[in-house]
Amino acid sequence: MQLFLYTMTTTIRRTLTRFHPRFVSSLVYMLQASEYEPERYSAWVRRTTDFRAVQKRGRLRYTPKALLLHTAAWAIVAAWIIAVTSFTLSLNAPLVLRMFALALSVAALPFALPQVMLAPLFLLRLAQAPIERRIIKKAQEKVRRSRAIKIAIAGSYGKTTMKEILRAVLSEGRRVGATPGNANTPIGISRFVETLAGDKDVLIFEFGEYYHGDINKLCALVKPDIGIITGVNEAHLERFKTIDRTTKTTFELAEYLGEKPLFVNGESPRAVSTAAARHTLYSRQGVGEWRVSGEVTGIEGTKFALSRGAHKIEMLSGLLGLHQIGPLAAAAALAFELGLSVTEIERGVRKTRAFEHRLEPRRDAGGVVTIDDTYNGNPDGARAAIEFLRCVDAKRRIYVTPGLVEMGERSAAVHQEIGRSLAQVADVVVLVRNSATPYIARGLTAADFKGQLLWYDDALEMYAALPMLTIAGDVVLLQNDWPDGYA
Amino acid sequence: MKYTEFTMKTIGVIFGGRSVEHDISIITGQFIIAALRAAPGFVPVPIYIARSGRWYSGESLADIVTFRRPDFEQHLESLRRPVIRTDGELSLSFPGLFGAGATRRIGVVFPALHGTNGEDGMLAGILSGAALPFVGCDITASAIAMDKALAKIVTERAGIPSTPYVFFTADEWAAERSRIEKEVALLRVPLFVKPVHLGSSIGITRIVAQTGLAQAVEVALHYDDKVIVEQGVPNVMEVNCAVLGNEEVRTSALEQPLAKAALLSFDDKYMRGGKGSKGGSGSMSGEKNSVKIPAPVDEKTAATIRELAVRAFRAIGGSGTARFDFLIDQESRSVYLNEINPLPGSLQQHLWKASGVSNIELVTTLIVLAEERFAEKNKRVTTFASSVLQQLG
Repeated sequence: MQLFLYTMTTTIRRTLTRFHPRFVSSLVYMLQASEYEPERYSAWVRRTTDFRAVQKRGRLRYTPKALLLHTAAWAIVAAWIIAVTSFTLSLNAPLVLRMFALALSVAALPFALPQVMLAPLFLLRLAQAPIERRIIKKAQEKVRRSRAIKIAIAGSYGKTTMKEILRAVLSEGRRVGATPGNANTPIGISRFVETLAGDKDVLIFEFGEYYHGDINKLCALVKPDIGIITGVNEAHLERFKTIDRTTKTTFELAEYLGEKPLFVNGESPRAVSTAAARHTLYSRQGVGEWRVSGEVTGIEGTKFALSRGAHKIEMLSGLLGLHQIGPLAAAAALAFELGLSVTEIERGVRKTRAFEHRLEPRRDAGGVVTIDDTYNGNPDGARAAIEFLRCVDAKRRIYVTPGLVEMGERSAAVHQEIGRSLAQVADVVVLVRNSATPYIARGLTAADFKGQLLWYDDALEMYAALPMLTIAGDVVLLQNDWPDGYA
Repeated sequence: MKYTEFTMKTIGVIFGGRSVEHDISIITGQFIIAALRAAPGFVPVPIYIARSGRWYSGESLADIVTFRRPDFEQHLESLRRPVIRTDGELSLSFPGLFGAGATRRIGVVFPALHGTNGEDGMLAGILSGAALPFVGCDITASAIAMDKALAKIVTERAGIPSTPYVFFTADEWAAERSRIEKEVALLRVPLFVKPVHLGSSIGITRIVAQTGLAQAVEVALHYDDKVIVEQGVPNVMEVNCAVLGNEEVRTSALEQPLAKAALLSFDDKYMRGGKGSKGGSGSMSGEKNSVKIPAPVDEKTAATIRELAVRAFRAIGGSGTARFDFLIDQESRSVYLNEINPLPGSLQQHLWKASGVSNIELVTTLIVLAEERFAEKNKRVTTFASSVLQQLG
């Protein structure tokens, strides 16, 4: 009885959240957070029951686009109310009946609005398309005239890390420009090109791929001289549908480059099996003819030597984990080919630090080390992070995660695998209750996990709880952080 | 309220109180609430005692921000008032539908009061009277610990060394001042003049000559009606040790509070490192900066301190937790018990954390200890069939 009442009131309360004034801004926020992709947005709307909880982690940022859509949304609401009011009032029926019809049609609006919102978005796109085309065209011209060496980085994961390592190393001897943040779409890259003054020796571009043909478009825009494929995995599978299509799209870069140099991550089985003999593989064993030796990793960083014949580079990096050896080695080899000296490369590598929220260590006053890997939400990254957790000295190893997103059908398998590999590494596993984490728990049980398993209802509750469960000497790994829009 | 809460244990966290340490108690209370929220299986219910002495409860009291609201006093009036019944229930009334109030029963009470009208045994008395299980020391242990003179007398009997002292009441100071001054003259300076009941260094004066006595006593009497004058320790180092348990007692690591002056002022103890202003989750950082863990003492001295802390805890009849503050003469290695805190600020969580006890383990262990003691007490016979009334002709 108690449960029945509870379920009833909850359902009613959740439905009523559609009538809250914030419902409108929540819809615009959902559009913005889905990068204005109708499919992702619609999927999110379908999943959502409590619209008050939508703007939990982030808030609507009032960019011109968001402001326009927000205004349009309220205009639709106003127009609808005026329309149905004047229509029902004009009807020739008893007043009670007319009022009832009016109430009904007004009440229907919040259920139609999420779909109706797509109309102004579509109109906006139509208006924006020619402007964006012009910007891209101009950028294409500018890049064609540039004498800089152009390096393109593609892959399902590790692109930003690769970009930042290259920037750090190459900056020791060359003037380097690189795409900022996650600007990796044709329009994002074009806007970056717009800002260039033409004084760079090397330009590094991060290529984003969401749909088939994306990489081809970017190659046509940038015309890269050198390519790097950082790996192919199940990231973005919800959009690509099949892993074969992901692989094919990523390797559009290889097709474009032809005989030009392409480095491929030798630790990504999908990438290796697709790579051709002329491509250079990089891994923790080495890159091309360069061999890795004496590798050590820990909270302080990673150390190894890279040698080829008489040349030896002492690599000392602030990046954590043995999986960083491959990208570091690739960057060093590439820099060597571009003519940087061993000393310059060593100096550049020493400047590499853990990036924000990517295996980034932090030690607090209470003697607890937190490794922030919240930006990392792909299976290969998670595997690397767990492997790193195994390597570190710790009183207890604590693994904290809400699970990974965009895993599509592979979600069960990916999360069970995480559970299984954690079972022998972690002393405490902290999970957020959602659709993915029960599979981690299942994996833990299957692999005979002897430690402590803790559950929290949402991520914010979990983060608040963390300082309460640690003791001096603990190492806490924070794996991935779900944006609003996944539950 | 979430559905799962029906199966969880409700813990009433009492904080605030009529004491100069009111604000520190709010911080301790917020810390306990946050720790219980993080622990599986508990629903903390905040119970706030205003400076007026009135009790309030409401979800908003589980957030430090509420206490900074400019309209805080008005806000309090909109909150529920908990009701204590004397048959083992602390219940909170809820204004329910159709005027039928619902009640929420508190399973275990977690006191977070510091200083007078709370930590001194008063709250323990109320809760014992209502037959409710509660965390921490009972009436007797709290009362002894919070009276510096009484604490010295009791622990001395158990063979725990403390520095020479003289104590007297306000009336005695007025009537027999010359006798007291003569007794004080036998102590070696520097001397510490303290109100017997207060913690947190309020009202304490360090004097280096007998001439300063009168003024120091006036200051102390401003806060309390009983004053203690203690002989200082030369080459002094302060070392604290916390304990956790009932019959079986475990000790924490040792910490050395790092104060610039020989005497910690209230601001030193609580405001430095942003402890007072940090708030929220019980000042995770900040206070770490003013202590050294482990304290720089040799193993033998450390073992002595641990042993003395456990012995003192038993001597006062302590239960749950307490912190014992020792003074060490670094030259002679002599150890003296200085003070007992039956409920240290934020439960001394940073020290426990450094000792391998997480915040969650700390609060849940204390709740288990409270339940154990309560069950133990209920086994005792409290009724006795007597024929006295019949025999009265």
